[in-house]
Amino acid sequence: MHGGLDEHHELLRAGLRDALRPGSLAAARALAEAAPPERDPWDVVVALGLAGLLVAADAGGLGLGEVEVAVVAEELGRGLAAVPWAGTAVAGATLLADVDRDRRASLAAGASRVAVAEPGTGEVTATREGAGWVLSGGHPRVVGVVDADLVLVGVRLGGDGIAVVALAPDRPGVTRRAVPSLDVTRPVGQLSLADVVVGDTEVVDRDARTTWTLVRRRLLLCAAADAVGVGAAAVDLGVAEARTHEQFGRPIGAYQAVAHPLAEAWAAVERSRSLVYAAAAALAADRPDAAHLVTCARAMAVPAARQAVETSMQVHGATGYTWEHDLHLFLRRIRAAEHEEPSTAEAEVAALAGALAGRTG
Amino acid sequence: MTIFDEAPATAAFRAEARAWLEANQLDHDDVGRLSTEEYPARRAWQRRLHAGGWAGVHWPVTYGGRGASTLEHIAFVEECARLQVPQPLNLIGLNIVGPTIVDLGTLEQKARYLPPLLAAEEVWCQGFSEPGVGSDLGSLRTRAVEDDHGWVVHGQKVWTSYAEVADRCLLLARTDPTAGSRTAITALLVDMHAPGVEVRGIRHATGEAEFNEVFLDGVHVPREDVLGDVGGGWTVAITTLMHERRNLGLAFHGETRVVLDRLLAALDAPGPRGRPLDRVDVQREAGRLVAEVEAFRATVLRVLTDPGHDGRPGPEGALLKLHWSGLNQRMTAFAWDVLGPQALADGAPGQPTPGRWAFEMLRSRGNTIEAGTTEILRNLLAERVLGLPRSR
Repeated sequence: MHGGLDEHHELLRAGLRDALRPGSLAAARALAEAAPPERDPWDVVVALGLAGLLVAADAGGLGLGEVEVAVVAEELGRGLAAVPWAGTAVAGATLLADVDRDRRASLAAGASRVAVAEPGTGEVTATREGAGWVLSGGHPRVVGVVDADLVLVGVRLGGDGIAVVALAPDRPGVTRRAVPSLDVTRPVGQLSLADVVVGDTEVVDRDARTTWTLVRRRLLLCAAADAVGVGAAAVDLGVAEARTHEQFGRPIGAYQAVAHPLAEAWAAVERSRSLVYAAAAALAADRPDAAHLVTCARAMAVPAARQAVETSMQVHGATGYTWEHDLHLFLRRIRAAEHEEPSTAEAEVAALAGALAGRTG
Repeated sequence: MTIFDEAPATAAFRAEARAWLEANQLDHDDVGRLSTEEYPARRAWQRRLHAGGWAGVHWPVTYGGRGASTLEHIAFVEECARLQVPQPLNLIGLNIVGPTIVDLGTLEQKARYLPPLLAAEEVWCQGFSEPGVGSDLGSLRTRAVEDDHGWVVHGQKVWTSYAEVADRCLLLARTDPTAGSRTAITALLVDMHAPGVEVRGIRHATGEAEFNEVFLDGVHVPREDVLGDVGGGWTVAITTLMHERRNLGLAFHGETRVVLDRLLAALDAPGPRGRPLDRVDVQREAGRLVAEVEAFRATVLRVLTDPGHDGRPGPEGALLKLHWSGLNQRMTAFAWDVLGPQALADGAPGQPTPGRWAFEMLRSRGNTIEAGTTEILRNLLAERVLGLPRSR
């Protein structure tokens, strides 16, 4: 069944999937053992120019949009890619667009790994000092902050504006430490700021409220697309097992008790896939229903992926439950995703009905 | 451009449809409606659609339709849902039988049957299932025996929607008792007013007699009312299934939107226990249902525009009916749960199924059974999409 996208989207998808296989899964397994991966999937992403996917072509990027973001995010999910792509190529590129040519060029070239601390997810106070500011406080959980060479923080610098502050992690007063995390492919860290002095070079954008909103939407899209990739990969594994593993003289997929949950898991992933790309297209065209669709997409895709992974694990029997099998890595990725700002996600879903009722009533 | 972006031509079609519908919608009071009571309004609505050139929007212009593309058809269904206009009465005719006659009928059959179908002058039903023959259609037993003028039919059909108002029936009968199912079955265009046809209503769980048993006792069918080849009934059946899957998918899309809009309006209104949407638990579940309806819409777009294999739609389309049935059950059950006794407020004492939400909730239990049971659809997806072995 077609995805409803254009041919160039499918070429991008096929190229990335091919380039990631099998190094990406192997890297995830290595990380689970706390061992260094043989091949870093980030090198694949950078080599394909995908760090600069959203960066304008005349600034060294690919000049592409949200539909391509969704395609890439999906394939990275399928491959369990341990890469800071969402923080760098999506959030980072969005925050630096049109305001910081140098940092943006470096990002597009794949020369920086960016972590993003969104406003409202931490407590940072800013006190005026001379021509600059002194920042104190922190964010308890920031994905990718431990390995980042650039951290972009949302800070209220007096008044109503929410600024983008760019911090090199080796700046005096900035500390990061790893915190517990379920997903080995996405390490999480605590970011602490103790009297960090920032001036014009660090305050990249003084009033970036609309940009931060766009970042939130694009990250929601990434999370939803990643979930589709995770779910689809899990279904594929489950179907392969059901076709080949035999008991009582026939493949276990011949039993409806095995086949029916797989069919339902496939259907759940596919309908969430439809919505993810509908949301991506709406975002790319800046349509008024884009925010609504992207919230719906995440609300559908993450539970669907969980259903797919759990079904697949069940179909695999005890083997699927072992450490050596990949399925627990998929389960970790999708269950950790459910923790990413749950209060925001839940609140947005809860607001969906009220917003629509107001429109139709 | 992806299929999720609306082309200017489709947007223009949508605007034209919206303007016409807003100007021409009937006044109808459907509070507490039971489905068969709606039939006169639905016939009147189809006549008005037909007069305006909007009946059978997806039919070729040659046969009286508007020649709408798939995306235009989807837009039309959405605009109808937005205004909550009734479904045309001849739903089976417009969506299943008519398109099958367009595909497989003779010129004479098209000239004779299509115009009154569009105008709601002749209402159609579909005679496929029999007692003991539902999912396993190939084993049907209604017989047709050849005579000098055509065929004589003996047998019985069941679960036949609209038979009580129908003028014609697309019926499958066994014409060769010796052959296997692929060559033994013939499709006949039966006159429901012919001698020997008897219709008896079957009441379902709501108390409504929305479908029927149809008894055929020596019913004469002229030779010219064979659709397709003698012995070619299986091809006709597959063709009708293809149209049903596609057009029912669209109908579900519209109905889902209407149910959601009504649900949200009910949740937004003050009630004896306050405004339901003020409760966080109600907000969360309602939000999830909103998201599901959006996922359904996006999947309708994707499935219906799928070029398929050799131009025929693939088996993946079964996921539309599978999803819709579960979703509708959940939406109507949620309304029932949240509204409590208030859900009965638009009904009257003495009615077995008082009010709209009671009707919708009970009626929805049939959704996972009719037009392909959930179990059969899961088998179909498992075997023909996932490539799993034939199941047991």
